[in-house]
Amino acid sequence: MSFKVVPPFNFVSRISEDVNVDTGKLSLKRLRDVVAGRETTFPRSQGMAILQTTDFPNKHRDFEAVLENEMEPPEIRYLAAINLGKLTTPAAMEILVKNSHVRDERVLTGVMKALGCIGNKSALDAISTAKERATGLAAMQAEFATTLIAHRLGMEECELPVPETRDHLELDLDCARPFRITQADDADAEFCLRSLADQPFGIEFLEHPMYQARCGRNTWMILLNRDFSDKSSVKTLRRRKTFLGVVAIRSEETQLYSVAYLLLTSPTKDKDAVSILIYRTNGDLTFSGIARIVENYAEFSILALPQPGAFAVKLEGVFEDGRLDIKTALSTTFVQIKKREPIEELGSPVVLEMEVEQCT
Amino acid sequence: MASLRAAAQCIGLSGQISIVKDFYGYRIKPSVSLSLLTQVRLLQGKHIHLNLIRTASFDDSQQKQIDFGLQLMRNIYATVNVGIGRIQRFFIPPGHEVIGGNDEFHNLINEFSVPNASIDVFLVHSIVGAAGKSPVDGSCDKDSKDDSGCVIGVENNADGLGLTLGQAIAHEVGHYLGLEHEDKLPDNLMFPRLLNDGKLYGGQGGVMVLHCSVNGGCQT
Repeated sequence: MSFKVVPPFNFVSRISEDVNVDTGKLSLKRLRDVVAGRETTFPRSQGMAILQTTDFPNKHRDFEAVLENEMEPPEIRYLAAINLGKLTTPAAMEILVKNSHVRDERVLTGVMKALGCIGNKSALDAISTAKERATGLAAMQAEFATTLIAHRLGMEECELPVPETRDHLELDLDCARPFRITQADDADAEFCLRSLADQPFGIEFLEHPMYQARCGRNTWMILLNRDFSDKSSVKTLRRRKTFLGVVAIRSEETQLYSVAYLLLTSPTKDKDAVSILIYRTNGDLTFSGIARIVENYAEFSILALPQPGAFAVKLEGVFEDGRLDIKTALSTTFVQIKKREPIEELGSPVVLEMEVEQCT
Repeated sequence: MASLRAAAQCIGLSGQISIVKDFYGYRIKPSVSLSLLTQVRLLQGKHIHLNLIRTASFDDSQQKQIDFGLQLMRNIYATVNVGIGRIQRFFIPPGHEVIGGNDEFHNLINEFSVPNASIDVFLVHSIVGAAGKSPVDGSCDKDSKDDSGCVIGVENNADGLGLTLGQAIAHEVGHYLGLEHEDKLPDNLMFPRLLNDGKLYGGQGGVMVLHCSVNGGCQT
């Protein structure tokens, strides 16, 4: 049975990063066997990626079986959870909620991450329960999932510590360069949206306008949540938490975009100010700032936070009616906080002359 | 063996040296014969050094595939007279075993790097939707904002032997050294699907040796 010829399991044509398998030669049965670990002729991570792109309606059950099998390697179960998170169906979410008690920290990290992407109010209860027992990365991811859902749904729960100005990375103007942020053309915007089709965060992106930023060799796209495209959007920022949009980065190798940062806002005690919190998708808070509300527009200022590999950024502008008007976009050209050093693996050295004999 | 010691010194090795570990990057005793003469000759020409940074635990079978893959990469690069010099092994704390997308790729290479002139090659358990990721013409300045490092999924490329993994590492490092995809050359290493015939052409070698991370020849 081939994806290309046998209905109803046609392969769904879409842009995707290349996989090492000629999908035209795969039968659905073989693919499901690979995902289940019954066939080992090609990697399961690839099998899951391909199954994800098919229109097979019960694929969530295949991922469920892998996720719940404690004999599977944790990385494979983690992948199953992530793939469930991409399905965005109620059935997939139900499976994730059911597995929010798994014991393995890595697997639980995947479940929490997936729930953060697609979870609703009912998922919050499961995450709250999981948080009581979770440790390490899983606990951090559970916390971030709560944050993400609370902002997506505009809920009161989950008050976040807002970094103070002194915590930001100083931008030395002598070492700073401006970077360009322009409105993306239609083709770029459409391509970006297609790239992000399998990265659901529970929000619909506004196609126009979309903003493209070029900083060094990297190209970024700023996508705003469609819910904040009208004249009342600034008032909403003042009233409740929001998931305002995302910043996607373009791959130099494939040219595809993927979500790199999540833009969240929270009201502050000052009714005319809103906190801006920009997280990496793994939950690291990397930029933050403040937006001052003036009538129907918001004047914002965003700076980078110190962490390994960070560089200073200053972004200032106005947000009004779902549109951004960037006034200042500066960044330093070098990393200001040193990256973390990997740990060297040291084996026992062998005397040179002893091993020469092993070589020809 | 004087020239061997000089070659070792040239790639930063001193004191007690393991040929298979320090010269060839093996972790497990190789099952193939290795030519020191060829290796020294390659080090006399243009060559690169690698930092292999693992983000997950790999079992013996995977370790053998990594070792075999590195040797395959060495053989592929030798066809365009680019040597692989020193291979150092590192690991990082948990949290980056699986790379979910470009964002996590960037998070990884922007958070970690080895402060030396070698190319950082991160070996992760798996990458969602890709066999590996690399910038094209990667940066040699690890303190710049540009991406410095490439990532390869070991599980993504598992074939029990190391052929696919070796091609994947060679392919991604090829990108790092400035090579683009060759969509119309299915036998070429830079064809966007693996396994292919793993060929490199002279012109591609000419591009690779111009990269800033390529070292000049050792005087042995």
